[in-house]
Amino acid sequence: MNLKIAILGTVIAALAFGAKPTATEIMKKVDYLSEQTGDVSARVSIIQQKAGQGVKQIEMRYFRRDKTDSFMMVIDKPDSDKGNGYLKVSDDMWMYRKNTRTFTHINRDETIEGTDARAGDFEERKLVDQYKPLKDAKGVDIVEELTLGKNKIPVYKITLVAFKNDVTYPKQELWVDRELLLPKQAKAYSLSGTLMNTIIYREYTIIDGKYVPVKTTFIDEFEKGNVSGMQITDIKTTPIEESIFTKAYLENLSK
Amino acid sequence: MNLGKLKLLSDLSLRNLFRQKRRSLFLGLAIGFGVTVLIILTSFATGMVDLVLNKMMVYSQGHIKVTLGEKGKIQQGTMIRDRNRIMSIISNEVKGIDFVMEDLMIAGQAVGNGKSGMLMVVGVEMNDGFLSTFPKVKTGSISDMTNGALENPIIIGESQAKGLNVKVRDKIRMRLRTVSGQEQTALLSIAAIVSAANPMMTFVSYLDAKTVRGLLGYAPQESAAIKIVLKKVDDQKNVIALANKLYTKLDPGYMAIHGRFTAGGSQDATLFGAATNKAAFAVLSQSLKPLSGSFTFMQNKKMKNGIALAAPLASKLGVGVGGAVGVRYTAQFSGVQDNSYTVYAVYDPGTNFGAYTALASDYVMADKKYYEMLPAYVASIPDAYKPTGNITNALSREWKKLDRTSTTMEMTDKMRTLRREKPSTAVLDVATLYESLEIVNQVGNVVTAVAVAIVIVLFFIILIGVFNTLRMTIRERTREIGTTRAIGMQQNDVLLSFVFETSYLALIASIGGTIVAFILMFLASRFTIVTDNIFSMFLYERHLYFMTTPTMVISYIIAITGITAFVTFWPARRAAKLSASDALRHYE
Repeated sequence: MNLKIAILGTVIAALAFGAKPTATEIMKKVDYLSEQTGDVSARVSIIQQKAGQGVKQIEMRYFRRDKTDSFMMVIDKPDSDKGNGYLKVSDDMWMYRKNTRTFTHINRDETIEGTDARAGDFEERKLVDQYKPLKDAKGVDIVEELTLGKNKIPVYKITLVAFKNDVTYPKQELWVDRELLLPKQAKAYSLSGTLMNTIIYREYTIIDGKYVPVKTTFIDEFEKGNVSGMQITDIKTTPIEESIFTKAYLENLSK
Repeated sequence: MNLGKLKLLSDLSLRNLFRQKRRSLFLGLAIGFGVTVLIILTSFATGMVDLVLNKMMVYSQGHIKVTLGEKGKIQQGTMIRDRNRIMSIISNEVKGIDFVMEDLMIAGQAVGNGKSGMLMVVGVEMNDGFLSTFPKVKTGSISDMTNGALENPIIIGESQAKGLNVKVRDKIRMRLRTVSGQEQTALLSIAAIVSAANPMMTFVSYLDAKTVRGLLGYAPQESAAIKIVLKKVDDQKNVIALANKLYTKLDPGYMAIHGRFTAGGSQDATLFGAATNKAAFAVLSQSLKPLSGSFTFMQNKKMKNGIALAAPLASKLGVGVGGAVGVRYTAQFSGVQDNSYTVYAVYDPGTNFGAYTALASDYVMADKKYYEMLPAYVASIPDAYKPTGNITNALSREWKKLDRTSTTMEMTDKMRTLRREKPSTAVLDVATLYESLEIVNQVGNVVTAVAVAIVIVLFFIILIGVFNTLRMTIRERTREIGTTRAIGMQQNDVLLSFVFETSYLALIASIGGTIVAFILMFLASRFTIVTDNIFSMFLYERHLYFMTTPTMVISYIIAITGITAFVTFWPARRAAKLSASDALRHYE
């Protein structure tokens, strides 16, 4: 924690003196601002619009405990999927189907209820543990000062390259606002360099001093016309009962 | 009884059989009908199993499949780091190989002309053998797969082309995940659109294996699971025996690195992975005595860089507990590698272990990218320490061999246990088509059992007819029996003449029934059946598929003739036991 405070202090000091932070500092700040050390529960609503397929709305309850690397999601809407869920405890992840009352061991790539969201997207994974910033010929982090969108928000743009091979997107571009260093937009690329999606962080809320993106838009750049909106409400940081991160809890919900 | 007498009785029986043409004809038709039904149903069941196992699944599963996975992942993301090593064991130990292929498959979202959908793509070697046996081409040209005219040429199924609204030479964009889980995209050009030979192939498209390997992120020396297809396609016992033999030969070496250790000083030494299960840890604790520190750090799963050094090595390096050690080695496929460790224990190697050795838990070995940066095998390095004795039970191997299983249930249990145990080392599995697709054999057996049950009922009715007809015949011929007995025919001769008569009838009818069955199966398999429903599973190139073996036909004919003779025995014996005078006095 002391290290984090020191990093934050350095970044704040750098900003206060008007110096441009390095890409590594930005990554650390982004991680720090989004990190939840305690328990988190919330309601998540995803509205997905697929080209030629209309709109699908999914609502779920979400519980997360980073201390034990656990999360649990249970679907509330649509009614046909109500009671289905996902549970992660440490390295194990299961999908629960209420119709068959069965748990299936899944991996991080499993899609959530047919949406573009994958089970791994709900894990806590820090940028610094996955990516290194793109550097120029002199070995200095590339940090561009730009403005973003119609409102011309002043942002830093950094490019991140994965140094581990199990990272979903081998390259990401990140636009963070210059004031708080919060991500405003991200573009993710495939291994072959194709732009796969754009994420726009529309609104944040502060929970226990941390910033949580409560309104986010996911634009599928691979298959044009697919757009998903995610809204997080009812965020709580009160301790979650241990029993919630168990298979029995999911089973009992559908009884 | 001499042959002449037998021939006489045989001729007599044949004459009697043809004396009552109408009765024999109807009885023969009934038996022949039963045989026809029996052969058609069992040929259909056998054909179904053959179709699924030997014409569809053998190409997607192989007769034998060798899988290696890291971090306990054996069903997804399989990775053989040194393909040549495994291939050389396979080619030395498995005889009668038709061909060997990698289990290269991509499933991902594809976007065509305004439409998208899931696409399943199989990587195949585009050699002459494969191309010459390829399903019927609707449009386009298979030769475009190899002539370099198109970028990433793909052969796509008719229904998939329709679903994506694409035609030959159109482009498809596809997104997929590499073997390590990274997003990947590909632009594919349609070389040909084909109609599927069987329902399993309806969902599959084909890309050159090299392209698929590249897209999935396999390096040239790496491989996905290896599938072995044998020349003799339907010899289950042989396949299982070969798989068992191969399994015994796929023994792992030690998980070890021989390299240059550096701290204050430097020394060539061998670092061994220490197994972290309880039994191995107990062996380690008994075999080696820590002089400083302790071995408990080995059991910490989150340990990233802990190492224990043999005292002579620590002394040579001038390092103790808490000190840092660098290890430089040349990886087999990726040049010089540098790892750094922290010393947590120094042990006395005594006579149980080498003076210039070190130990790290298999967690640490895996975390330091042992598999990605595969070192040279210590067995082939003359200077590397070669452990012997009980200490070997404490050392990690390159992979853990999963037990061979013989049923789908056992295989499922094995995978469940694997998920629970989550080994940090790689795991190796050898499976055959017959255990992974035991269900197909079971379905085939059920269909055959149902067919046999139907035919048993049918034959029960027919045999009652045979029995009754024979009783009538004996009754009608009672005086004739009396005459033949009076002029010297023995009881056994009478019995045999009736048994021969009905046996001839059953034999001729069975042969006739078999011929009719073959004609009907031939005709039925000529019809083209266009359907996409579940029934299509039983079709091969849109035709019904029957499989009949000579053994099957001969055994049915012998069994039916034998059963008929058996049923005939009692009425025939009753006729034979009649005294000549009683028989001659018989009046209706």
